[in-house]
Amino acid sequence: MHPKVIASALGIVIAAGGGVMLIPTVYSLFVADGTTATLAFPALGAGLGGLILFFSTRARDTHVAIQDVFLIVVLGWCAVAAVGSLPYLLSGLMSPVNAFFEAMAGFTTTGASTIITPEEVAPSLLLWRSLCQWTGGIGIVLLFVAIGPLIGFGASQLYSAEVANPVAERLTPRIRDTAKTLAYIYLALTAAGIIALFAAGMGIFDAVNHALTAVSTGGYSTRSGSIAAFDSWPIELAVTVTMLFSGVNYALYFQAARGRLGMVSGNPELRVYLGIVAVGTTIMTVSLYAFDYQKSLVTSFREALFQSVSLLTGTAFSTADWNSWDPLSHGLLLTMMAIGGCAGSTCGGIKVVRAILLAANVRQQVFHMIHPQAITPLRLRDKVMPESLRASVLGFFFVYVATLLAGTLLVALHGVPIGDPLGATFACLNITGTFLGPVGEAQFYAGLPATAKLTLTVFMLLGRLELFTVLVVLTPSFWRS
Amino acid sequence: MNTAQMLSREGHDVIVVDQDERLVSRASEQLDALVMQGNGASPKLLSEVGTRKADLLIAVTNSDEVNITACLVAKAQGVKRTVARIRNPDYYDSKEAFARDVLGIDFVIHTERAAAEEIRDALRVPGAITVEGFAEDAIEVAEVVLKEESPAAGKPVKDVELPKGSLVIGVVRNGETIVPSGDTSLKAGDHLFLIGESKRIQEVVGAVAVDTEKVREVMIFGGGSIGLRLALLLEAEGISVKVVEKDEARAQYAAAKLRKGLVLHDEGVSRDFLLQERVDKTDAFIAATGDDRANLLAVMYAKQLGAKNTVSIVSRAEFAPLSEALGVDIVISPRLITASAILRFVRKGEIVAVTLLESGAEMIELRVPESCRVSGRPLSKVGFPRDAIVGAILREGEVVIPTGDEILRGGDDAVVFAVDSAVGEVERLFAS
Amino acid sequence: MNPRIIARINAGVMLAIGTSLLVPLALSLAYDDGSWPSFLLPSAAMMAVGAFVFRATKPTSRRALEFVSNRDVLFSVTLAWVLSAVLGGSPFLLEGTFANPIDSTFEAMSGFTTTGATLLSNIEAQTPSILFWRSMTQWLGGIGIVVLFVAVAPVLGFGAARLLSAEVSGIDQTRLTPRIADTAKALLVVYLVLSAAEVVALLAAGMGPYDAVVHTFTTIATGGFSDRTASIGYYHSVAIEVVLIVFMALSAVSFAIYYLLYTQRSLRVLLDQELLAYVGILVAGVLFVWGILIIEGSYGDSWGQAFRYSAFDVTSVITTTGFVTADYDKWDTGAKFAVLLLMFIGGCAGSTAGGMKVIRIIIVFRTILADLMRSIHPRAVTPLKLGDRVIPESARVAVLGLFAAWILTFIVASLVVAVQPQLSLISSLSAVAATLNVVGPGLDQVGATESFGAVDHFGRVILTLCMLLGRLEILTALALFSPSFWKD
Repeated sequence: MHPKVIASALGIVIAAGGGVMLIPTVYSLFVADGTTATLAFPALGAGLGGLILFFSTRARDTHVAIQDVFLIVVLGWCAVAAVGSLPYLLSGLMSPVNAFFEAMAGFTTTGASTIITPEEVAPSLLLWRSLCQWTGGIGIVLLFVAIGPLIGFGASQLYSAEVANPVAERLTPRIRDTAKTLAYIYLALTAAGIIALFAAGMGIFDAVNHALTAVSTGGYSTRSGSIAAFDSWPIELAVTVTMLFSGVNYALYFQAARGRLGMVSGNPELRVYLGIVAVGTTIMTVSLYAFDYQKSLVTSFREALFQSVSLLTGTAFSTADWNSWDPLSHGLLLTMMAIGGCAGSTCGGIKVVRAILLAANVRQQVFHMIHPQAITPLRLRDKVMPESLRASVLGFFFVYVATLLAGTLLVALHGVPIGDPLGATFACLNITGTFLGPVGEAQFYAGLPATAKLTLTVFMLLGRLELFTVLVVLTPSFWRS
Repeated sequence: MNTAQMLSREGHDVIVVDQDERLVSRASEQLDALVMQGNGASPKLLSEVGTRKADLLIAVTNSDEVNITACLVAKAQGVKRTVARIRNPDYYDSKEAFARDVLGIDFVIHTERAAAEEIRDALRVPGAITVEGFAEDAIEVAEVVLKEESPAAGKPVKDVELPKGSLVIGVVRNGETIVPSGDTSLKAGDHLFLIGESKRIQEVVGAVAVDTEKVREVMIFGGGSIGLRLALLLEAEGISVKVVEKDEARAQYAAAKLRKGLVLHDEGVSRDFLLQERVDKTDAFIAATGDDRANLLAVMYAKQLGAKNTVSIVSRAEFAPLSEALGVDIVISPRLITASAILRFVRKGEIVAVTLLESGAEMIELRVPESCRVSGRPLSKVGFPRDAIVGAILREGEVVIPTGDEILRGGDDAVVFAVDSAVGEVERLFAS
Repeated sequence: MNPRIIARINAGVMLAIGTSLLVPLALSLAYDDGSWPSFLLPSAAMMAVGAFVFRATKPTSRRALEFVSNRDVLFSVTLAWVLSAVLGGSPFLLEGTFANPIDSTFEAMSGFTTTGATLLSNIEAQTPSILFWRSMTQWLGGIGIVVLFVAVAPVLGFGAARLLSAEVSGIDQTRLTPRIADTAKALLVVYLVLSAAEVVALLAAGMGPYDAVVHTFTTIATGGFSDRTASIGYYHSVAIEVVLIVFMALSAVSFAIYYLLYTQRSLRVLLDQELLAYVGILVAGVLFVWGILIIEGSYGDSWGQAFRYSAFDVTSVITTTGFVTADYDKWDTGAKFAVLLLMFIGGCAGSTAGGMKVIRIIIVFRTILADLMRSIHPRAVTPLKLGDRVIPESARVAVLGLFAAWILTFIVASLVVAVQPQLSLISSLSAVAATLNVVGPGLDQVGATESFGAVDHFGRVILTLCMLLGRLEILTALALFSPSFWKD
C-alpha cells in the first residue's frame, strides 16, 4: 500500500467535488436564495484542501498497487459524500447523518432521500443535489468502462466483452483518451436530455435538474410528486427516452462514436435489455388494464412503459402510484429492479448481462443432469466467455443475495417491520432508492434510526461499486501484505 | 508409400526419402523405386538424390514445417513442381499468392479437410457409402453396398429398375472390380457404383439401397482435426452432432467452435457412456480419431449397440480389408485421399479428376480433345477396353448418360470407370 | 427412456406404501376410530397394482436391468415422490379430511418430502389413525431420502456424481460398505436405532406412547408434523423440549457419521468439517436469537425463558423440522428474519434435513473468500480444502450454480405465489422459502400457528411443486422440465 498515492488521489477527488460545487454556488448568487455562503465555504474549502493534499503528497514514485486502487475508489466515494453533505448540513436543512445519507444517495445515484418536500428547499441546494447524482454517474462510468478493464477490476470482462482488447496497452495515454470520449458522450447525453425536456415543456431549472438525474439514472426530482407533478405526456416521453439511453453500456456509445455500429446493434446485452423493457411493458399494460377498470389502455401503456424503464434503470422517477398496482406487476417491477440496466452504465442491480449468463448457467446445469459429460462453454451470442467469468458471475450473484440478506438483518435489528428492512436494503443495494410500500418515500428514510441510515449508506456504496470492491477492502488479507 | 507405388506403376521414376530405417527397408522390398534414408528437407540429400532432374517433389510427411522446407529447397534446386501436404491452415491459404510464390508450393493437399468433406458427402446421400462429385459436381458417383433385402439383389443389371439418366458403372465383388454388362448378375454384398446427375443421385441410390432414411443425428468419436471439421460441416447441414473427445482442453476448444453441437468429454468409450448418449438412436457413428485401432474398436462397439451407420477413418492399409468384417459401413482412408489428390495433380492435363478405389479401380474424369481416337465415332465402335466404361458425359452443362451409339465430341467431359489394368488404355484412347 | 425400469421402481414404491398403510389400518382397528376403510381400500389397491406391475415388469434377463440411463433415474425418482404424494394422500381424501385431491396431495407431499407444512387448522379433530399416517409419511419419506442420497446416489454408476447433486454430498467414504445394499441396510439401522432411542427418551420425558411415536416419526425425518395444533408448545414441558432439541439436532447430521462412528469407534469421525460448522451455526444461531430476544425483552426479564424458546425454535428451523414452542411470528423483526435466513442453510448433507446444506454453504463462502483474495493477488493459487479433500474448481462452480438455481427458483415461485392479492408479500415469500427448504411453517399468514389455508388452490399446487423441488435439490426435478430431457 502506498499512503501517499492514495492521499494524492483522494486530494483530486475532493478538489473535484469542491469544483463541481462551485456551479450551484454561482447559481445561488444568481438567484439570491440565501445559500451562497453554505455552498461557497465547502466548495472553496474542499477545492483548496483537496489541492493542498494533492500537492503535498505528490510523490516521485508513481507505482500504484491494486490495493491502492480499491482503497482510493472506496474512500473516494466516502470522501466526496462527506464533502457533498456539507451544504445540507450548513444550511441547517438536515442533521449530519441525514446529510451524509442524502449525499451518499446522491453520489451513488441511488436516489433515496430524506427531503420530504423538495419544493420548500432552496433551488441552488436542489441543483447541488442533482449535480451529486450527475457527478456520481460520470464517476462510475469512468471507473468501470475506462479504468476497470485496464486493471482487471471486478468482472471487467463484462464491460469490455465487446470492446477492443485493452489489456496489453499502456495505461496513461489510452486511459486519458477513453475517459475523454466517455465524458463527451456523457455530456452530450445530458445536453440532449436538457433540450428534450425543455422542448417538452419543462421550465429550464426543472429541465436541467431532471436531465442531470435521468442521465445518471439517479432519480432525484425537484418536486415531491416526481414526474407525476408535471402531468404531461411529452415530458414523460422525454424522460423515458433519456433514461432508456442512460441504461445502455457506455462502451457501446464509445464503439458507436468510433463508427462500429454493427457491434452496437449486435450486442446481446442491449437486445435483451430492450427486450425486457418491451416484454415487461406489454405484460404490465395488459395486467393494469385488466385489473384496474379505471384505466384506459393508453393510460395503462403510458404508466407501464414509464415505470418499467424507470425501475429497470434504477432511476425511480414515478408518474403513478405503483404501490396500488396488481401483484403481478409488482413482481415484475421488483424483478426488473434486481436486474438493473446494462453493465457499464450508471444503473445498479445485477446487470442484464449477468442475468443472461446466470440464466444460461442454470440451463446448462440442468442439461448436465441429462448429459453429464457434456462440455458447455458459456456463450454470449457467438462469443465464448472464459470459464473464469462463469465463476465470477455466479460468485457475484451469491454475494449479492448474501449481502441483501445481511443488510436486511442489520436493518431489521432496528425493529422495523419485516417487509421494510428487506425493501430498504433492496432499494439501496440496487441503487434504485425505492420499493413497495412505504420504502422509497422520504418519510420512511427520514424516520429510520441513525445507525440504520448509516448501514444503508454502506449498502448503497456496496451496490454502486458492485460489491467486491468494497468487500475486498473489508477482508483481513487486504491489510496484511 | 501408396502414392509411390501408384506413380511407379504409372511409369514414373520414383525416389522415396524417409527417415525411419525400418520403413525404408520395407519400402525398398515392396516398391519398384529407389528408397533412401534421410531427412527429406535437407538440401544436401535432395541434391544428391538428383533434384535437378526431377519434375516433381511430393512432400507428404506428417510435419507441415518439414514439407514446406522440402518444397522450398526443391524449388531452389530446380524441381519444376512441388506438392506439399499441409494440415495447418495458418501456413497456407489458397487465396494468398504468398504461399505459391514464396514458399514454392504448387499444390497443397489438405487431407483432413478432404476426409471430412468425403464423409459429409456420404452422409448427405443416405444409403450410399461414398459419393464422388465430377464435372464440377454436376455428376456424382455413389457407392452402394447391396443388401439381401434390396430389390436389385440377385437380378442381372439390365433388370434393375433405375431412374432415367443413371447407370451402374462398376461392381466390386470380394475386392475385385467388374465393369458390368447387362447380363452381370448382382449379388448381396456387392459394391455398386451408380452414376447420375447430382440432383437426382439420392433417387438413384434409393432404387437399390434399402436404408435410405435421412441422417439427422450423428455421433463423432474424436474431436481432432477431422472430427471437428466434420462436425462443423454437418452442423452447417442442419444435422445434430455429438462429438466425443477424450482430451479435455481439446473438448473445450471444440465446444467453443460448435454452435449447436454437443461436445462430450469422456476418457474412452464405454458401454454405459454410449448407451447414455443414445448411440442406438444415432443415424451414423463416425470414428475419427488418429488411432486406427481405437476407431475400429469404437465402431464395433457402436454397431453392436445399434448404431445404424458406421464410418471409420482407417489410415493403415493393413486394416482396410478387415474393416468390413468388423462392421464398418464406410471406410475413409486419408492415405487414399492423399494419393488421389496427388494423382489428380500429376496427371493434370486432359484428366480433370481422378478417384482411386480401394480395389485398385479408378474413376477418371477426362476432357475429350478435339481430335482423338474416341471422338467422332459411336462409342461401341471405338474399341473401348472391356474393363472400362464411359459412365456419363457433361456436354455444355447438360448431363448425358451415354449408350453405345453416343458420339463423343471435343470439349465434352467424360467420366470413365476403369479397372486398374485398363487405365493406361483409356488414357491412350483419349490422348490427342 | 426405459419404461420397464421406471414402472418397476415405482411399482416397488407403491408396494411399500401399500404395505405401510397396514400400520395405520391396524391402529384404526385397535382404536376403533372408524377410519379403517380409508386405509383398507388404498392399501389393497396399491398392493394389488404394485404387485401386478412389479411381476409384469420382471426383467427378462440379467442384461435388461444392467443399463439404467440418467433419464430413467431422474424420472423414476421424481415420479416416485409424486406418486407417493398422490397415493399416500388418498386416505385423507377418503376420510374426508380434505375435500379435494390438491389438498390431500399437498399434505402428503409435505409428509413424504419431510416438509411439515400443513393445511389442517384443527388437528385434534382428526382420528388418531389419520394423524398417525400423516406422521408416518414423513418417517417413510425420511427413509427414502437417506437411502437415495447416501446409499444409492454415489453408486448409481455412470455420471452419478453429478446426478442428484451428490457431487458434494460431503461424505468422503461415498461407499460406506462395499455393497449398496449393505450401506442402505446400515443406514436403515441407524435410522431405526435413532427412532427407538427417541421413543424411549420421550416416554421418559413424560409423553404418552402414541404421541411419543408420532413425534418420533417426524423428528427423525426432520419433518415437523405434530398431532397437536399448538405443536410442542402444547406440552409445556422442558424435558420433552430438551429431548426433541437433542434428537432434531442429531437427525440433521449426516447419517454416515453415525455409521462410521460405530464401525471405526473413534471420535475423530466427529472432526468432520461439515459437522463442526453445523454445530457452530446451530450454537451461533441460538445465541444470536437469544440475544435479540433479551434485548427486545420479548419475554420480559426471563433470560431462561428466552433461551428455552430460542434454543427450540432455532434448532427446529435449522434442522428444517418445523416444530414450534413459541410463535416466532410474534418475535421482533430481527429475530424473525434470522429464522428465515437459517431456513436456507438447513442441516448436513446426507441427513433428512432440507435447505442448501451446510457443506455447500461452506464451499460457497470459502470460494468467495478465495475470489476476494484473488482480486488482490491475481496470481494466487487458492485450492479449496475440506479436511483432506481438495474440492475441484468445477465442483465449486457447480455449487455456486446450484445456489443460483435455488435462488432463481425461489424468486420465480415467489412471484407466482404472490399473484394472489389476499397474501401479504412476506407470507408468500416465507411460504416459498419454507416449502423449498422443506422446513414447514413460514411467517405471517402461513406462520407457525397458522396453516397454509390462506393460500389458494393454485398457490398450493405451486408450493407442492416447491417441496418436491426442494427435496430433490432443484436440479433433479428441474431436469424434467427441460426440453432436452424429452429429446433423445
